[in-house]
Parts: sequence; structure tokens; C-alpha cells
Amino acid sequence: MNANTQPDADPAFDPAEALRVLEEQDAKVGAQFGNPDRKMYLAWGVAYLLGYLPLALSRGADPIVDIPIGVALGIFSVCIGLGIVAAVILGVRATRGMRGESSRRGMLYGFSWWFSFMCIAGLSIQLGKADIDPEITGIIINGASMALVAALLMAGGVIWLDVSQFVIGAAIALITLVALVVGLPAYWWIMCLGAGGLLLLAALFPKPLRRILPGSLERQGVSR
Amino acid sequence: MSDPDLPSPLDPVIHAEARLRVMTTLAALQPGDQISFPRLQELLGMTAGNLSTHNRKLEDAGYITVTKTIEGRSPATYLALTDTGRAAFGTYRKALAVLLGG
Repeated sequence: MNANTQPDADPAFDPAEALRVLEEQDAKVGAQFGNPDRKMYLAWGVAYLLGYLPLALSRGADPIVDIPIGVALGIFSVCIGLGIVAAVILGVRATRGMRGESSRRGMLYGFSWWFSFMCIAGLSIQLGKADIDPEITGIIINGASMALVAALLMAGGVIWLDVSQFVIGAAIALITLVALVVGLPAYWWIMCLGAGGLLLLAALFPKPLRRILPGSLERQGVSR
Repeated sequence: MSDPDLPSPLDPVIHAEARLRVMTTLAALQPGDQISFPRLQELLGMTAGNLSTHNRKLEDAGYITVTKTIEGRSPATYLALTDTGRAAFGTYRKALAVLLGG
């Protein structure tokens, strides 16, 4: 008999079976822990694509579809609202049943979005009071918002040392810059296909992205 | 099957399915993070009693920390890997790879 005082290793537990168990559990927790960045990109990619589309289709001298600017901006707001709901759910779920540095970091990062976007709400109030073309109001608020999105994504890249996220933020900044320089009405198409398309590509093709750019340092030493 | 007379290169504290699952799950946490007992239980699909038994063995070996706290008015338990546990899990993983890879 084994006189070992250490815990009873299961003698029938085959090493090959152990490796299978380990990899299975690793895959299971890997899908649930950590930064839900891909799901975030997917939610926002869809939100931008669908949100900007009515604006892109209905603006310009020869619009494809006739939608009043107020309605188009309203649809955009609804899409952004749904994106925010999805982001909050994903953020809360990522740290469910956890505490420690990651949840604190995530919570503070979440707050930084809320606080900075409250200023955008303030900007909307003032522009709404002023007698300006609603489409001009739209581009000002939207340009400022997208600059903030870009800055916060880049900040996220810094916080989690995730180069992919940083580069996506920088790309959003460049797309927004190009759209602002080109101006109306192409602005809406550039944002729709540029920002929406970029985030959808990042969500759907994470592997090529990870190959070009190193991802976050999380799970280092766990995955091979 | 390996010869029972030869000392196994695999850490007996980890080499049992339940404890291996616990260690793998805790190793996936970021250093500095803790997971609640119910969440861990949910990820493992084990009964509370069974999980507690294995956790005690891992705690006795110094591989995990079990922190009991009060949240609101109800007691809560949080678990995390210790540095020793993280190192032991790394060693176990390598030993397993060597054993199977030849």
C-alpha cells in the first residue's frame, strides 16, 4: 500500500484523460472569463451599421430612401441605446461571481464611459437649443462622440495591454477624422461602413487580428 | 497504465479529476482576482459538499486560498490560486505534456 500522507491521487486517472479534462475545462472557462471584447465589437459593429444606415441612405442631394432627418437620427439613437444595454450586460456578466483587480478595473472603466458621455448629453442640450440645421447638429454630436469612443477604446487598450483594442480605437479615430474632413453627406456612409464594418470584422475574424497584433496578456501561460 | 511502484511525476494533489478542474478554473483567473464559491460550483457542476472537500485538500497543500467574508448580511466564500498553486499547476501541466509527448 502507499504510505503517502499526501492527498489520494486517483490511481485510475489516466494522464491522457487528465489532459482531456484540463483542456475541456480550460476551453469552458476561457469562453466565460476575461475581457468580452469580441462580443462588444459584435454588438457595436451591428449597432453602428444599422444605426448609421438610415442616415446614409436618406441624406444628400439624391437620397436612395426618403427618411426625415429627425427619424433617421432617432433610429440611430435607438441603436446606440441598444448597444449601451448590450455593453452593460456583457460588462456585468464578465465579472459575475468575481472580485478583485479585474472587476475593479472593469467597473472604473465602465464609469469613465458614463461620465464622459454625460458631457455629450450636455452638448446635445445646447445644440438643440441653438437654431442649427439638425444634420449639422447630428454631425457635431456624432463627431464628438466618436472621438470619445476612440479615446476610450485606446485607453482600454492601455489598461489591459491589449494592442488590438488600442489599434481598433486608433482606427475609429482615423475613420472619424476622414469622415469629418470629407463632411456631409458622405460622412454617414463613411461612419456606417467604416466604423461599423471595422468592428464587425474585428468580431468575426479575431484570429487574423490576433496574428497581426498581440492581444491582451491575460491567460498568458494558460493557453499554448 | 503506469507502474504503481514508480513515483508518478504528476503531483498527487492535482492529479484527480475534481481537483484538476478546480485548479484549471482558478488558473484562468487573473492574478489578484477571486471567484465566489457558487460561481465556481456552477462552472464545475459539482455539489457543494464535494467541492468543499476537494478545496480543503488544495488549501491544506497551500495551493489555494479560501477567503470567508460577509456581503450585505450573508456570508460569502471566495477562492483564488496562491503563487505556490500557480507554480504547481504549471509544473503539473509540463509534467503531463512530457509524459504524454514522450
